[in-house]
Amino acid sequence: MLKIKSKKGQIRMTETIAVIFIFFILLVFAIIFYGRYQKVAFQEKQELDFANKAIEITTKVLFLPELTCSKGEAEKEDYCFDMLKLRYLKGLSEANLDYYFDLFSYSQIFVYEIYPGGLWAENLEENQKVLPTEKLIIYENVPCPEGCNFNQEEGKCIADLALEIPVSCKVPFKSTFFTVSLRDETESEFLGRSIYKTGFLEVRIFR
Amino acid sequence: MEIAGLVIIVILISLGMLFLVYFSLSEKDPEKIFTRKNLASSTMAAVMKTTSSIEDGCNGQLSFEKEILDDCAGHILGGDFHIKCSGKNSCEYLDDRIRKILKQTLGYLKKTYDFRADLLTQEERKLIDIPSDKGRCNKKYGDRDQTTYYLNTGSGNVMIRLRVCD
Repeated sequence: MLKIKSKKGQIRMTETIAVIFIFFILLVFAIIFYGRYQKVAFQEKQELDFANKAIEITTKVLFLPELTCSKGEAEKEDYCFDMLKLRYLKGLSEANLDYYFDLFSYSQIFVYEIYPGGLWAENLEENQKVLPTEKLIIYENVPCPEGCNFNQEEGKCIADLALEIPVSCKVPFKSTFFTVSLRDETESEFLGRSIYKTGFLEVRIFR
Repeated sequence: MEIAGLVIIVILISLGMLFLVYFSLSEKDPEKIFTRKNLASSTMAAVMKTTSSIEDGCNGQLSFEKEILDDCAGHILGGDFHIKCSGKNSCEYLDDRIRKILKQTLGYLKKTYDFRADLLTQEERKLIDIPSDKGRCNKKYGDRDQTTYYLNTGSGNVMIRLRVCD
């Protein structure tokens, strides 16, 4: 009788140990899964912060008083840039780099004229995927990696030629595009009547 | 008995993980939504505000949303065309220019879109209808954005709608 009882007890104990063992294995799996999820979630959070930064900078550009179309005390026109202001903003942003750095951080802001200039052409099919080469630069501040210098003409970081070891000068960025009106008072046929072109705003934000 | 407990624990852990994955995947990219939302309204505002270029010879630099649309709407109600640009009447010219501008902006960003202008009389009369190369934007509301403008022309109100999908 005692022998049978002790055998039953042994079986139950083995069973309990097996259950606890499986439970701990599952727990370890859950911890590993959670850890990996946290890692991905952290990367996603960083992406989200970056996306929010992109939204913030783009909104600032769209409503920048130095750019928007205004007429006296009349309400400002939405999504409209004044070409007269636009042509001078790059010089202004370079002269007041600290002020504009606070606004735009590390970014590049361009405006392309889509209509009637730019790539406005009848053979659109061939050019469709190419943005017009001529662009108006509003602001440019690129964080070049060590061993690279910013090239104004090419608008990107280029490796220092004096360096013996080649370095990668690619800086990851996120681009946001918006269609805008470009008001031009200088090309109007009639005095006092503004003409409006269609433009494309590109805001490149660097990490 | 222990086996039953283990099964319950496994089910609970699986459910917890499924919830975690489901909620993490269902979050939408705010930048994507912001861009699409603003892209629809900014494109609509920019396109309609555009004026014809001197080279098009429209008897001056005429506004798409005022003179040219007005002339096009007038013709739909039986009037004559008064504006001719690049050898086209006002309706054809508007259609051609807006089609190209949309192709170079929204098309460049590989968006699906459709643009439509209707004259609101007793029955709706179509003035312009431009779908993208990828077709019309028929996705459900959360995945598309739409901007609607109402413009008053000499022939009545014109409703202009631009829908943009990802």
